[in-house]
Amino acid sequence: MLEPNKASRLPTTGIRRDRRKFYLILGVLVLLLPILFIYCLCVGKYPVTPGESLRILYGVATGATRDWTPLTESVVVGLRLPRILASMMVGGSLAISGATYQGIFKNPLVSPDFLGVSAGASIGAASAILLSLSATYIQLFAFCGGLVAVIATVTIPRLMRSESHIMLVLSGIIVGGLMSSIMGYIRYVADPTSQLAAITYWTMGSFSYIRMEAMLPILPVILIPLLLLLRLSWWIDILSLGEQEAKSLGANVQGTRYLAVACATLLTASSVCISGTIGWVGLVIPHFGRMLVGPSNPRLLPIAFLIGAIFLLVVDTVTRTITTAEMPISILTGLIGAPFYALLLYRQRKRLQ
Amino acid sequence: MIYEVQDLTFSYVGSSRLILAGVFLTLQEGEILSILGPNGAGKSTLLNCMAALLKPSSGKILLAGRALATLSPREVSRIIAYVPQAHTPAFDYTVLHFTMMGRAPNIGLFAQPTAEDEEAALEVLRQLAIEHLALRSYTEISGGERQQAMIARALTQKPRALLFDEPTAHLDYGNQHRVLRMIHSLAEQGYGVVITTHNPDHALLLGGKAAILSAQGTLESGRCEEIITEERLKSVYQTSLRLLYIEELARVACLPLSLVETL
Repeated sequence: MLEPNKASRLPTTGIRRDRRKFYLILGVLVLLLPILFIYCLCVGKYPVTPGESLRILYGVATGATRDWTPLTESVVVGLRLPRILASMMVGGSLAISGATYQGIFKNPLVSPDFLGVSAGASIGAASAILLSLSATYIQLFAFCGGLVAVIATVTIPRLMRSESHIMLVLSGIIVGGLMSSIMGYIRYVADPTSQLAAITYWTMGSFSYIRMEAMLPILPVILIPLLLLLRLSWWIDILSLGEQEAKSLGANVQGTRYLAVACATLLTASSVCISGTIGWVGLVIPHFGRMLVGPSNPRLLPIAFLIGAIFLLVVDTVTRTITTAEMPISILTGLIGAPFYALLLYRQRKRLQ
Repeated sequence: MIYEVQDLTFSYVGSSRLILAGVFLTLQEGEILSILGPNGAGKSTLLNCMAALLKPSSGKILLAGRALATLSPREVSRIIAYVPQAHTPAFDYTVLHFTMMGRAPNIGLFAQPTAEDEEAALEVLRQLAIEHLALRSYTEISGGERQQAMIARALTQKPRALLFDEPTAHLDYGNQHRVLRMIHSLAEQGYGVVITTHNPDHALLLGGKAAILSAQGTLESGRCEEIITEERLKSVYQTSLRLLYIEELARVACLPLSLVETL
């Protein structure tokens, strides 16, 4: 009789344990998100009980009779709900696009900011503010600015006939430097009494001025790339091996890379449209995700989305509750993100060498 | 016939120097071809041309009877597997995940590997007796194990031929021989195998066919014992060496002369 070989059984149990661990983490995050969602609806200068906020949400959705004050409804549905949805969408989008850039450029140290997307988008927004245009135009300008920056960043290496990743990163630095000078000029000529504060808010990120109507048109521009990236995730793993290896495995390197970069860029630009530039999320959250579920993108991308969403939701709720005068959100993401990133690098120092 | 290379030339864009100057080669199933040559002679260039990773300047490569230039990367990846030099990737995928990437030729752009793909990868790891590495991180295993994982990924592609770029580089003495043994048994299982190497003795150990690429880009190929001769090696490598039949090993070995000139 054949005894089942112990050595051959080992990986299978290990694989099963590994998979269980992933689904456990996924499950915990999936549960945590709605709990935090309800909690954040309730806290603030005008506290509401969880039961009441749930009843209001249900009531507004189904059109049931209102037994609450209009003030409560406007706080929960008019102010907090769009803000909470926006912070979750932006956090998740930035995290997924960061993970994608890191995979595609096979460099765990790049972030959505490095292609100049965020800088370009904030210049677009700032120009619109400078021209005293309406909120819709501010978003449109932000979007175009982001796209122009990416196109510039991607074109420079092509002009130099180089396809190397280093050249792309350098090109990002060139475009980023140019953008920050332009931004400096805009700040310099902006009217300090009326425009400068708005511009600052845009470059430091904020969810204070979110309106549901402004968010809805951006939603498909976020959802479609998000779903595409989740479907592409395994091929991002293949591309992260480098161009030659990916090609020898039969990958359509150029096509896949462009598609993934386009999706990630759309996500970043849309995020900037909603909330202005928010630093660190796209860099730190993917690292944190890799620590939890490993580097494989089919697992990493959904986890990064959830962690990013939870992170910005919590940080935004803190910024609106901690002080009476609300501060820009990038102050907190930087204060948390930078030391956390240092900690992650310390823990991964062996692997990065 | 897996490979027929006809009058292949290659020079880099903007350079007049011919890296490959009219190269002819053939390779059949179950055959090993070792490509030797001095540093910079273009061994890797030739291998990359054969893997369709570089485009030759002129000449023709037939892969399983079809012109390589007309095949898509995906079609090529179903016939040949390319094993690059062992390297450190940016991300620490597990050996299983890494091996499973060899299923890429069968997986659609918006699809992901299934349980069946995972089983196929595990099967190859089992065959190579490195199943215990399955969940280890690719960056934390040794260079020899990494080379084996790379071979596992190549076999998961279910190719007809394998191309190895200096498979023994950066490996310790024992691992070099383990990898050579693995390559030898792959040829016995019917795969066509091409390797580039710096060590003539490895070509002699593997037997089969050998090819010597000169610094001028010309290539001489044929049966190993006919191609690897003292005169050729001396002129290609510009160094003194001997090919000796060693009774105890029952084979010809390639050995350098003493470093101090005594003879």
